[in-house]
Amino acid sequence: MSEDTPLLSIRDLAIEIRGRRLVDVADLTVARGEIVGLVGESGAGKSLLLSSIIGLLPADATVLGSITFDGIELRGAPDRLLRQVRGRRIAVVLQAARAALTPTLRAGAWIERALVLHRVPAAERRARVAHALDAVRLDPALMSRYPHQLSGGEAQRVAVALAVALRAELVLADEATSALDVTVQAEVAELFRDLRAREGTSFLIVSHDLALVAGLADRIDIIADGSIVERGGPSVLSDPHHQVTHDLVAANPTLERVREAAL
Amino acid sequence: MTAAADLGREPGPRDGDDGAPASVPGSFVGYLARRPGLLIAATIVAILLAGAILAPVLAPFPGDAGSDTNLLATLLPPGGAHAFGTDIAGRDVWSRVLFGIRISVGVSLVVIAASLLIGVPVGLIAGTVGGKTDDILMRIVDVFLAFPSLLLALAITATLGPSLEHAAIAIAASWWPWYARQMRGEAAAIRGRAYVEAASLLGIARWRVALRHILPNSIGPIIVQASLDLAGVILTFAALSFLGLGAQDPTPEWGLMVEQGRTLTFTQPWVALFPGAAIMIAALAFTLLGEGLRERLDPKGQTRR
Repeated sequence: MSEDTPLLSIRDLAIEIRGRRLVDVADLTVARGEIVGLVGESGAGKSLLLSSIIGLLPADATVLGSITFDGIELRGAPDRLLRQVRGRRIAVVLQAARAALTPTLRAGAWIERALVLHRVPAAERRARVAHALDAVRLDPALMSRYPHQLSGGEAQRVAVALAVALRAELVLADEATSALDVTVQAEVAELFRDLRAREGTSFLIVSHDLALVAGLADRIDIIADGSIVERGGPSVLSDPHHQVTHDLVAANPTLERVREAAL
Repeated sequence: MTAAADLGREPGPRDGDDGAPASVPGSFVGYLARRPGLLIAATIVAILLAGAILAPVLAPFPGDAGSDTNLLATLLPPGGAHAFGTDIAGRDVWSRVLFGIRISVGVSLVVIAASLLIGVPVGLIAGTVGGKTDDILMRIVDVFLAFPSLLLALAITATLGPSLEHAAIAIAASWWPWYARQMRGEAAAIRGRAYVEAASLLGIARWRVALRHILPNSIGPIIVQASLDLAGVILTFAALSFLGLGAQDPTPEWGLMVEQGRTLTFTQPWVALFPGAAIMIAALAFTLLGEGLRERLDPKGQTRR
């Protein structure tokens, strides 16, 4: 693929569940090394859109349109192909960081198993894990811990470390920071930025947290009722045109507004 | 690791949010010491297991557990060479009770294992796959559950003919649906957890998610239930043999031995008393052990019967 072809390209995507059209997106792209934010209220179709990219929609969902990743059509692709792409090339980082790790597996074993699953040669595994832990600034000693012995931020780093170890080209972050403390949120945002710089990883960040997205994304798409209603650089949030964007911004208290209200 | 220091937390005790027990062998010994009931139960179970293994060495008349008879020494009271006396065929009751561990406890273990081997996969598939598969499997389970277990076992042994093996098959047939139902509930509850979703997101195939991520996280309560059930199976097994539908003479099965001493209760009580006591002690020990395990592994304390 040439450099200017987007890594992820969604065209005329429609997702219907029991006759109801829940997502209707004309186009959405993520270029290599780009961080794209997808912002909308709960129920706007953000998570459904993410699930459709990796082919994990509910069984009763119908998907129309096209989802190409690095030139591969993912919509309607056989499960075998999708399983090779999931995790290995497209990683998903979930909101519930700690709950996303299997409680009976130590963090190290969890990563190790995923590497084995995706046929990373044994000789390479150690180096890849070491590199990944370094990339997410995670103490290797934590690898012998079970999820309940990790903090939320540490668990999120474990999940991201796996994406790095598998050399995922695209990370889909589904409210990846929403369950974390504000300081940890900033750390994770920093981590994403750092990964993009070091590994050239692309990100599609789905969130209702405008501050996070504004500070992180190169481009922002605003989604409402399943469709993208406004898009642009981070400035769309400071200068909203669409009513939905306006409402979203208004619903997110900033320090200035809090101060205004207090006076 | 350059930036590890500023992120690293002290590896001391963590804020115990969900307090999963640390699996240190030493702590288990301490745990036992604080629960005398569990300690006694564990000791009895250990003695039973040792007795089963060492029966040929410990039994003074190992042949009496088989087809040997001694018509010159029938119904001798306890004492002398026969610590528990002899039965109506002149066989040493102590030797037969000892070898009976292998039959009564051994077959019960096999029955439980077989029930788990059928019930757990059925429940895991039903709970993980859901939908129509779930419906069909659970309706089959319901059919088996609709019969009282002893009655189902009676019907099966009556059809197949009375024998040790048929009694074991009958009990397993009436026991596995309980595990299927419980496993289905556990699996269905866990299916929606974030880590199961995360496993699928990693490209792990569905069967592997079920086996590696759902099963290990839901099997605990079922293991506890199985250990509690061991007592029930021992009793059911003894009951079937007592009714003549299980083990047949000369098999040294405890329920059968009680039956053989039934008419002698007031004249030669030792014939029925010692195997009867063995049934009681074994059932009690496994119940206490199961309760103790539940306290440790399944604090929610769910019971089903």
